[in-house]
Amino acid sequence: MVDKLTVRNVVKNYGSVRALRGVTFSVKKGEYVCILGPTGAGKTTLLKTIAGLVKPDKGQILIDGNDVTELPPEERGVSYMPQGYALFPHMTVWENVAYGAFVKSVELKRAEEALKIVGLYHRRWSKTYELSGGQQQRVALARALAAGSEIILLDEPLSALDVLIATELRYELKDLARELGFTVLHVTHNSEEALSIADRVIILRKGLIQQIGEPWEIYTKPANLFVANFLGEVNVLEGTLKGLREGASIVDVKGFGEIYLRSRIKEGWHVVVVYRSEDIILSREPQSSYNCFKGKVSWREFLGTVTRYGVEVNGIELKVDDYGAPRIEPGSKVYLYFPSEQGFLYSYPREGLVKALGVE
Amino acid sequence: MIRVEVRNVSKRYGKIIALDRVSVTIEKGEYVCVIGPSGSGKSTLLKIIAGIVKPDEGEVLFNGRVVNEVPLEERGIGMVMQDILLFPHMTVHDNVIYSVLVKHGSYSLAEKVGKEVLTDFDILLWSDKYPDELSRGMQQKVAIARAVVSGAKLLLMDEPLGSVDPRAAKQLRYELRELVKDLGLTAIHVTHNQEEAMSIADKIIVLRRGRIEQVGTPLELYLQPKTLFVARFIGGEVNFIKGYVKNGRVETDVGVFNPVRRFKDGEKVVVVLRPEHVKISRSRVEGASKGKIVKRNFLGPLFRYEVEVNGAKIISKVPRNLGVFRVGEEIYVKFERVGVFKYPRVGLKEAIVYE
Repeated sequence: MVDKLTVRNVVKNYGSVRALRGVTFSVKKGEYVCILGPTGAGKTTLLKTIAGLVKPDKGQILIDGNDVTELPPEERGVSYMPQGYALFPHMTVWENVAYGAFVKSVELKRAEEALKIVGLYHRRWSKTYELSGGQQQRVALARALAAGSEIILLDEPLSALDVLIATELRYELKDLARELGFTVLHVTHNSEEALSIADRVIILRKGLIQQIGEPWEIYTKPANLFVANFLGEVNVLEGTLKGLREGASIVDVKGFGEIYLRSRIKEGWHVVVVYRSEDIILSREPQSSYNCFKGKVSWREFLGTVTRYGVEVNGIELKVDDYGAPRIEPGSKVYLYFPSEQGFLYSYPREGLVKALGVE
Repeated sequence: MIRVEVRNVSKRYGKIIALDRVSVTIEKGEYVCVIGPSGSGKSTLLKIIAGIVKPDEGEVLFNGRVVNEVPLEERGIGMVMQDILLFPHMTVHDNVIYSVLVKHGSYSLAEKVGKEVLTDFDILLWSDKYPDELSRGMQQKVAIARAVVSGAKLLLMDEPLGSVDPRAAKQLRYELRELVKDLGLTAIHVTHNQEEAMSIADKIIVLRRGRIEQVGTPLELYLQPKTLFVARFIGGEVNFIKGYVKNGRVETDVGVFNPVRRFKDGEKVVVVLRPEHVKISRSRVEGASKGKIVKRNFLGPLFRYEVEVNGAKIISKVPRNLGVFRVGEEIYVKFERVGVFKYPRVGLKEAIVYE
C-alpha cells in the first residue's frame, strides 16, 4: 500500500540557519505520529513544508504517492493548525469552526461533531474573544478537524493549556483521530505527551532526525545520548570499556568501579554509561553482589507518583526515582543497584558531553 | 528574614471578588508556592503582599507589624515577574548593580555587592553579556539576581518560570530554591504548574475562586487533600468514583471500601483513587476486583492503563519495570489507598471544575 505521506530528503535554509538538513520519513494512513524536539529543532518548519506554507530548498513531499511539492496549500488535502490560535475574533465559535468546513465544502455536520468532541458545542454562539485560552485552543482544534482533510498537522496543540487540561485532552485527541481515521502529525516538545499518544515518534534535533520508532522502542533503546536525555531524567557516567564477559560489557566507571551492562558498542574504549533515574534501585541493604554501590542521600523531593532522591557516590551525584512517598531520610547511607539490562552504553561523544546532551 | 501574615484579606474588582477573606501565615525562611487556576486570585494575593494593590479589607503584617500603609519600595521586597524586565541596552553586570547604584549612589558599593550576588548566582561569567545574548532561563536568573541585590529579605515571584523553555525551567527551579535557601530569604512563588510547586515548595497554598482551599506541605496535599478540588489539582490525574455508604462501608461499582472517617448509612459519597494506587495483578489477591484492560498508554517510566471494572472505567499507572499488561487482558485490581468525600451539594462536576 502507498504511504499516506512521504517526506523525502527535505532541506530548508533560512539564510545561514539550516532549519532542515535532509529529512526523510513516511507515514501510513491513519497513523498518529508525534514530532518531538527542543526549541529550534525545525519542527514547525517541517510542518509548514508539508502544509505547503514553506517551500523546501530541496526534496519532495508526496501525498498518496503523488508529488505535491509544487501544489498550493489548499490543494493538498492537509489541515494545518498553527501554534497559537489564528481564530477570527469577531466571529462566533460556530462560524469559526464551520468556516473551515465551508471553504472545503464538506458537510456542516462535521463542524457540529468537532465542536461536540472538544466539548464546546454549548458555547457555539459565543464570540471567541469571550473564551479562555484553553477554550480558544479547542476551537482552533475543532476547526482543523472540521475541515475534512485526511491529514492533520498540529503544531503544539496543547502547549497553551494548563497541564491538567492538556493531559486529559491529549488522550481524547488521539482517540478522536483514530475514530475518524485521520493521519496526524503532532509537533510537541513534551516527551511524555509524545510517548503517551503517538504510534510512532520522530525525534528531531537541529534539522536532523535522531531516531524514528514506537514510543517503547525509542524510550528503551535510544539511538544516542541526546535521545536518551531528551526523553527522561538520566544519569550519565563516564567510563572505560574493559572488555566483554558472558555477553556483558564491562565498564570501569570513574568513582564507582566495574559496571556490567547488556548494552554493547561497536568500537572504542572511551564510553558513557546512561541510566534512567527510575531504573536505578535504591535500598538500605545491598541488593546484589555486583553493580551495587554504596552512597549517601543528599536531598530528596516528593513529586507525587515518585520521590526523587539525590544520592552521592564518591563525589558523584545521581538522581534516583523511587515509586511512592518518601521513605528514606537525607543523610542516610543507601545502596544503589544498577540492573545490567537497563543501562545504555555509548561511545564518548566527540563534541563533548555537554554538547551531545544539549537540549537548546 | 520576614514572616508574612495575611489576615482576613478581601479584594474586589467591581463585581468580581478576587480574594475572599484570605488568612495565611508564611514563616521566616519558608519557600511557599501559591497555586490555582487562572483567575483564582494568586497574583492579587502576591500584589497585596507586595503593596502594589491595596486590600479592601484585612491586614498584611511583616514580622508582626501591619504594613498596609507602607509603600512598596519600603517593604524590603524583591520582585520577579513572568515577563523578564531587564534593561536591553545594559550588560548583565549593569542590570544587576543598577538598583544598588540608584539607592545608595555609591559605585564602589554597587560594584562590591554586585560581584557578590553575581558570584552567588554563578553568573559572573555572563557579566559582560547583553540580555538578548542569553536564553530566557538565563535572563530570568539575572532578573532574580537583580531583585535580591539591594538586600531584599522577601522574594515575591509571579510565574517566574512561565516564559522559560519547559526543560530549562525544570533545572532552574531547583537552582532557584537553593539560592533562596542560601541567601536566607523568605520566598512566595506564584505558579499554575502543580508539579513545579510540588518539587520545590516547603508549603503550598491552593487558591480557588479567591478562597484558600488548603495550605500544607506537598505530601499533605497529596495524601490528605481536604477537598475534591485539591485532590484533582494536586498530583496529576485522579479517579473519582461515586458510591453509597452501607453498614459503615462504601459501596461502589469498582469495589467496597472502608472509609477512615465515619459516614451515615445511605449517604452519597465520592471515592478518590490515585492511578498510582490502583494495583494490577494477573493472579487473584485478597480484596481485589476483577477487571479488564481496555486501553494502554506508555508514559516512559510508567504505563497508564484504562481498566473496566463492573462497567466503570478507572485509570491505573504501573511502573514500566513491574510488568506490562495487554489490552483485552483480564486482570485483578486492588486499591492501595483511597480517600472518601461526602458527595458535594453542588455536584461532582462543579466541585472539581478547573476554572
